[in-house]
Amino acid sequence: MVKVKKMFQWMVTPRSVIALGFFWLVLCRSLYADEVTAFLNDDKVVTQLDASSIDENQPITGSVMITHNKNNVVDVNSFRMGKEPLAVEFVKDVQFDPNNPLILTIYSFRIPGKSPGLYALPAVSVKVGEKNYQSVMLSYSVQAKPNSAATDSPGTPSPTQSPPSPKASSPPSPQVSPPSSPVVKNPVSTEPSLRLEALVEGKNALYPGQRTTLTYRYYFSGHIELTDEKLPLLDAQGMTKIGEKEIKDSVQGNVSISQISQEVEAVKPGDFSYGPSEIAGYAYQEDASGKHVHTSPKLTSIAPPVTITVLPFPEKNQPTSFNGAVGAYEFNVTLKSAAEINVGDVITLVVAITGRGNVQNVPLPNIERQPGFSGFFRFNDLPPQEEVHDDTKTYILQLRPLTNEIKEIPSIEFSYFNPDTVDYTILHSQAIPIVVKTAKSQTTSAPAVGNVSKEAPQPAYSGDHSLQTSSYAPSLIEVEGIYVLDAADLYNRFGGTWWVFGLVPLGIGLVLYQRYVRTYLWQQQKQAKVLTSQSVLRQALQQPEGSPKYFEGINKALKMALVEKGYLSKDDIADEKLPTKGLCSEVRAFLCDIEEKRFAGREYAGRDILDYATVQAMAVALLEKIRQSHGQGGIA
Amino acid sequence: MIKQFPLSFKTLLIFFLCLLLLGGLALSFRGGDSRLKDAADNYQTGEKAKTVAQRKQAFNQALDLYVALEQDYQPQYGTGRLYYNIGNTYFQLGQYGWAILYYQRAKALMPRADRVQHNLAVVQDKLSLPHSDEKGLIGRVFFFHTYFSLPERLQLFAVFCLFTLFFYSAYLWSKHVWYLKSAVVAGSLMGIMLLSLGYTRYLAPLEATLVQSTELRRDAGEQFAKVTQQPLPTGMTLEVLSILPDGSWFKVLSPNGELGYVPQDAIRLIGP
Repeated sequence: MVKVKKMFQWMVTPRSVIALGFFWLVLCRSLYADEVTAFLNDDKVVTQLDASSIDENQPITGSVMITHNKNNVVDVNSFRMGKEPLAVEFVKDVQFDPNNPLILTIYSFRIPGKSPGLYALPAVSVKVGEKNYQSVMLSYSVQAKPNSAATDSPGTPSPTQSPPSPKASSPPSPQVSPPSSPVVKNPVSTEPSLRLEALVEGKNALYPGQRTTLTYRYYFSGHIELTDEKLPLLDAQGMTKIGEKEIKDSVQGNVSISQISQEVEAVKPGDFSYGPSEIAGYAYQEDASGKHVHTSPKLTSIAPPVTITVLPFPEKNQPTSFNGAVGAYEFNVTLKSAAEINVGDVITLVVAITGRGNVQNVPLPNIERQPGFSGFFRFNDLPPQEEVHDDTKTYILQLRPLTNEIKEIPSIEFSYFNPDTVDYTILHSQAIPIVVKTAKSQTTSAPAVGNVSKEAPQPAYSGDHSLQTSSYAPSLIEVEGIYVLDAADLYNRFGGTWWVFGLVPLGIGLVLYQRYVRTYLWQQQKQAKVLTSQSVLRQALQQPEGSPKYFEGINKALKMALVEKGYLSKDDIADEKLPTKGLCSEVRAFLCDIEEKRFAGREYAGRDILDYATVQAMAVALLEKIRQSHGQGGIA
Repeated sequence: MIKQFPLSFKTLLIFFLCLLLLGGLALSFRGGDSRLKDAADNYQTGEKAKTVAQRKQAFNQALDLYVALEQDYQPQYGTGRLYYNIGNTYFQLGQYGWAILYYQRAKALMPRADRVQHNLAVVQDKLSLPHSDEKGLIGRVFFFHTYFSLPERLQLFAVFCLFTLFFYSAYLWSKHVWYLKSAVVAGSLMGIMLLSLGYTRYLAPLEATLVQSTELRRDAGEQFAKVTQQPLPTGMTLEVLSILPDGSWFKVLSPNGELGYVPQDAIRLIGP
């Protein structure tokens, strides 16, 4: 702490102030000298736009400042902006030092106004003395008028503000801002901006099969967070996309450019319009935590629609063999297999198509329909093998001669449409001589084929040969025969559909029902067991005397009493089967006596057969006796 | 208090008798179709034809009849013999893609039929397509899943279901433990069949056959780029991952693991 205080005291003394000031002057002088030296060492060209803000559709003025030796003359006619000549107007010469030959020459230029957006000003080149010099590219922003664009920021000039006059924006004096390096003031360098451009890199008018590239370019400065993207060009409805999208990023001046390209192939004739395309987003900065903080209102850019016209192939002079090949090609057919063969042997042909255009998709001529093939050759069912090497597409196809009348593989016609000449070109291959023999085995084992060669009409190179072909003997049956079907084969299997799952709830329902029934019956049995011999007897005695229920009840009650006391295992035993010992014997005798008297014959007529009071008393007494007994461990 | 029966024995008996009657009636209405004989006759005429034209005509007539029968009856859970015959007819007409499709359908319904396997192999050889009959460990362990067709498994499920019901009912009334054990065994078999059916219904990959060669696209549209330079060959079996709501494009996985879209007109589902 003491050291710091001493140092501060030293710094504020007059002597130290003078020393520091001197040191500062020397430093500034040396820095300035370095800059001037660097600036004056070589001739330089610098472009600069006059206005810091350019309104839409207003002419844009700027200046070109050339630092050069006054002995090197500036060629006024050599000014070019990009590749285009640039008309300039001399403004003035400024000499830095009377003793220095370097001077600054200023020219002004003017370019047409543009719609709102971000643009890149191409580099300006000029011939000074014997050398060409070039400025760097710079970007600039064209602001929309407040009443003409919905995307204007609140800070745009009011509509009443007059556009800047070209004369009012004279180039700045070099003494005011002497450029120390080829740096141009970028009017948008501090303002974020966003612009979308949609374009077709190639032809807008195509024929089916031709390709072109659809491109979007994003021009932006600053960090932009995109929120909306409508890019119909990349979907390319109605076209076939070729490969993946290609993305390129570059930087020009303060402007970053992202380019997305998609190669497409035209398929069908028609007008295909894509757009308008639109992107929108916000400029942002990252805060300390890395989050995006929007620093601008929503920036939107709309690119106008892009239209591609796919033209139909001209019908005039269209060859019959034309099947969609577009470009410029050469055509060659060679025989890959032996030239001497038997009827039915395989011939392998190589058809090579070479040229520029969409070689990969160039179709094979429809050889089967060409004269000399139909009816005389049978082609393989499978599509021919294809190979593509560099600018050559090769088809390898197989065919079999059907008759020994064939002497050559006829010339094959191939036609293509040349979009450059807008005309068709027809090519013919050379006929390839071959020798087709009838094998002995064929004449004996396969007479049908032999017959064909005899019966087949003389090959004619025109007309429909399908009937001739059809008259040939068919090939062997290679698969096993069919089933003899019956009605069962026409229907779904019984119980073989998903409806069988209906059995599950049905089964569950049945099980539940059975459980319910079982419970019901059990409860019934339980209730039946609750009835005691006494209650049964009581109920019986309440019945009309002499009625069947009267006697049955007495009978049941006594037997139940025996069961309750363990003398019997069940109460549905016949009276005669009752044991003849003990209480059972007494019950047996009583019940048999009653039965005997109930069903007595005439010999008892006139007698009081049954005394119901006695019967009742005896039954009650007998029941009580049983109940009072100790029961029997063993069951009879 | 004794509860009253919600359904008397008599009502229940009438209900089941009605069910049996309806089932019997449904079966009795399964009459034959005269087109079966016509189709078979045409097919045999095609086999015996002396010229290509005659053969073509006969097989085309047979195909017309078979396809009409298929559309009328739609025996997707049937014996599979009709599909086999259609496959044969397509084969004779040189429509190998369609032949493979119908052989695949027949194979799904007749997994043990040697004829189907043989003919399918013949047509696959013609198109230089690989045969895919290899069974993994899981396939060997759960043999019944591939040994039986889906309708057969459904029938077995029904039989086991009825056995379970029968034995458990017997147990309910007799309380004999052997009935319970039998019910458990039948129920277990029913459960296994249920798992197999559930897998088929919800987890098994949906398969389809290409009836014509087509490009595999990155997205559902002709304008999208091709996934593979070469088109997918006719007869190739693909796994269907999804189908667009309008049914115009199928999202598929090729046997080589390439994912893409194929148009509806080039592909047909094998299963129902």
